[in-house]
Amino acid sequence: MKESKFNVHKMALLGILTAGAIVIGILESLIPIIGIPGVKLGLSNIVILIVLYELGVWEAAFVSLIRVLIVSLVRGTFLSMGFVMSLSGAVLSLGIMILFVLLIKKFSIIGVSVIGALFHVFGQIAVAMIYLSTAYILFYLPVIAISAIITGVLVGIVAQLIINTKVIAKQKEKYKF
Amino acid sequence: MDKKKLRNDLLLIVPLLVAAIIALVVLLTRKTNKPLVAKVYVSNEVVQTIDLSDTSERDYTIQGKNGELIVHVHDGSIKVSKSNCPHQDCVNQGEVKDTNHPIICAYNEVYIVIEGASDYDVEI
Amino acid sequence: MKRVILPLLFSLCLCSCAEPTPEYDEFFYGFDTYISVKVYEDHHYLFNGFKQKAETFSKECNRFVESDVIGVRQINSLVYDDQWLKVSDDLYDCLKKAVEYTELLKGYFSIYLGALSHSWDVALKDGQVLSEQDVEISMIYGNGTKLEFWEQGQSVRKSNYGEIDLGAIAKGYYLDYVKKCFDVYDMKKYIVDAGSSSILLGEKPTEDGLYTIKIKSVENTYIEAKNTFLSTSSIDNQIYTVEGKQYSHIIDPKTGYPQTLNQTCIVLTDSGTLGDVLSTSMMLMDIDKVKEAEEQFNAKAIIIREGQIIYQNPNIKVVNG
Repeated sequence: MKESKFNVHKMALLGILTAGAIVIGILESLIPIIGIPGVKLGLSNIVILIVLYELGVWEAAFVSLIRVLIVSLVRGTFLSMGFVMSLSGAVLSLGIMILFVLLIKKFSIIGVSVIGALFHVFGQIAVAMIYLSTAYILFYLPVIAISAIITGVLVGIVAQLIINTKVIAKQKEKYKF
Repeated sequence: MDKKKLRNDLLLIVPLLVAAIIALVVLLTRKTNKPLVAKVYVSNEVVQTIDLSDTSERDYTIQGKNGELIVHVHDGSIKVSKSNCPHQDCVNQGEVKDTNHPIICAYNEVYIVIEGASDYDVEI
Repeated sequence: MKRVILPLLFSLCLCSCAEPTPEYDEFFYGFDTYISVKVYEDHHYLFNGFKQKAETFSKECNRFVESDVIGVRQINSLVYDDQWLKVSDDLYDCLKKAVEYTELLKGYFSIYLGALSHSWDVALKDGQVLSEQDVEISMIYGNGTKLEFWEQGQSVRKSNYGEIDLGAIAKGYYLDYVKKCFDVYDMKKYIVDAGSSSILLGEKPTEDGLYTIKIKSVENTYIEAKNTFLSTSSIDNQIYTVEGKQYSHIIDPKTGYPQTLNQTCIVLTDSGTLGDVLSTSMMLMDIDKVKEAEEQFNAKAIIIREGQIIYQNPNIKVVNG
């Protein structure tokens, strides 16, 4: 069978994974982070990481961006500052993770997850600072950075554990994508 | 898991974590000897300066970009007691007494920062 | 006993070091900015009138927003109507003063260039510059516009297409009103700050009664003053750069272009209206003309260019550091 980019089984899998990322995104948006509105834990990165490592760069971008879009539509924050913050965080985090996975191959998934989490938070805070035109937000950066690093480690471990179960690897082999 | 990669991870993560913790410690140990005032900003302009060394209980109504907030001051601490913003982040922040915790209400473009009192009465 | 006295003495000392607390401390929105009123004496019911007056008068002076009062907006829509429009006491008085100052400060101040200044605002925000033709036409309309007064009917009549702009003068006029109220009740210790550009200083309840006013445009410098109006005009943070040239928000009535000579002008006077007018006009004046204006209007000024004070009236106390 030809290896095709538009493999139906792959699409279905991506759909499920995206839905998972969306659900996690919605649930975590209900957790308030004190200090800056719009900063999130970044748990949906578990899914993004898995997709990045198992399915590819474009697929990861797809899942991440669709997640940002749908979560904001569901929560009613579409086009608000929170939406732009999430988008900027997602883009920056994805960018740096892709860089690390493709070019700087010296780190394991945990390292990539941490750097992804940090850049996610940087993206969010940078946008908040621009929208509110103030540097006072930086007061919260150390606390949020520490939390991002810790969740980054946990997210990385969970992602690795799921990859180790070879659930997706088996699907890839079975349906040849 | 690749032992070498894990070691690299630690080399990356630990310095970052340490740096963040140091930054946090430095921030938390900032002190000022001057009497404290709370500055209320709306869309980046100071609209009210509240003297926190006056311990009487009082309320201020602040006109934010998209609505009203009620700021409650008592005994050297300040909090947003009521706001029309959807997320209520500012209200949930609770009381603030020191210079390290700005209260931010993004919906109304309001933020409240505590600083040492300025030496001047007004700035032009 | 000792354990109680020492801490008590200590806190008493701290209390005397603290800033005096105002009896009346209010702030409210008006004239597109925030007005803060602090009075360090027993206040009266009268003070609630301040908010109302600010609200009403700022609506009257507002030339863009529709409201329930007759004001500048309606005046500006008079062209050929030949109609007399009755206005409030305050607006009538303010317009009269404005026209008088336009005459006295010809070439440096004009209230008839409202349309031109608005066009510039719109163009500059868009990164554009008005064409020579547009400026010329607006200048012809503006300079050809006259405001007439009918005392008995307390009415005004405007001819031609120019538009009145009281933006530079409204806050000062309001502060004159506030001062009158204070005088009636013999209040002496107060400070009223209308958006930092127009300030009314009474006395501070300290020994020398002087307020300290930091000048943002110059490093490490402040003024000490009391019992005066303090008006400031500045182009700080308000410059647009288009095609390499800098434009401010103050229109030169001689040329029709928004380019000023000075960076910041601070004027101390005994009238808020006058102070506002002078601080705007002096942005276009050289030092000789500034001194002339100081004498003519019994005012004191500080002129700042490029972060330095290039002229200060010797009777103003300016402190460095």
